Amino acid sequence: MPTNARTPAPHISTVRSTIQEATSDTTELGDLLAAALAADDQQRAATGRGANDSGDR
Amino acid sequence: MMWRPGGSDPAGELPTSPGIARRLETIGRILDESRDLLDTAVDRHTSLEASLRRADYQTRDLQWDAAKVLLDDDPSQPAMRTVEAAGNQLIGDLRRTQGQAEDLHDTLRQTRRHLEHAAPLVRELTQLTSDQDPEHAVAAAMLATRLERLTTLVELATPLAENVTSRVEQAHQALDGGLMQVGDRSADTFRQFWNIDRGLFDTAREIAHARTSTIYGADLTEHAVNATTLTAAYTRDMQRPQGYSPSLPGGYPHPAGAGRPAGTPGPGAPAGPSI
Repeated sequence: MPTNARTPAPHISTVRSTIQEATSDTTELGDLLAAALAADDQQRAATGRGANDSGDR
Repeated sequence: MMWRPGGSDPAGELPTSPGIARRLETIGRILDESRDLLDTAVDRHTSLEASLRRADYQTRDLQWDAAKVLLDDDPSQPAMRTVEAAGNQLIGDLRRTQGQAEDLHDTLRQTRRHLEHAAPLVRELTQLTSDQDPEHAVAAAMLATRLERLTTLVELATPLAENVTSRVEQAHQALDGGLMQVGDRSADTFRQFWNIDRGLFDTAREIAHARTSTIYGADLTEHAVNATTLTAAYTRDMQRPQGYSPSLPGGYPHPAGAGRPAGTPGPGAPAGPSI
């Protein structure tokens, strides 16, 4: 087996791992957005009800 | 001075109840615009995520294509140009992906500015309503909670978007720089860039070779066992007493009978195909 078989190449391995890190961050960002905006939908609905309640009064 | 619902402040410093209602409406509109921006951010995020996954697949395919070229001791120029073209395609895609990441980052920053504009208005309104207009205090508190939630989201999301932008830029630069190095299309520089694939392929090839050798070795061993079995059977047949059924497993006495009582069964016949 060549001695360099387990030595990562400096360039292409960097490219791929960097893309994967970016993908991981993007996934985390998507999860965050989805959770927070779902909560905001509920909050907005509650705010709308609150405003209506105030208006009713 | 106490503010009275429905009345006006003589000094013009405190809003009337209709004024508070207008402020509530204004803040609600700012928050809704912020939310619209975040919905845009979600769309941009979806596109960005798809582009990044595609780039990951492209990089993997590119690695394997390059590795196939490296299997040749003297890779052909067209084969290397094909890999180079795929690399340039990926560079272009990463540049566009970087633009998508920057757009997402910009959208989040724009949202942040909106929320920063709303923050003092909400603080003021909360103070006013809690002190002087309990009827609108609930609505003001809801807007304050909503503002806080959206602000927290943007504060957490913005650094992530910044990281993504930075990493895509790094990937773009690394690939661009690496392919520039192999731009002269010499086999040595090509191998240097795609070194890991050469190793992987060498390993895979050696494993395949070892597997073939093992199969071959097992085949030889089987032949050897068979030959031994044949030889043993012939030997037994030659030594067997007259009328003794040959080559029955466990039923043949030791050839010389050494160390065994007469009639004691010897070891079984060697395993192998029947003869």
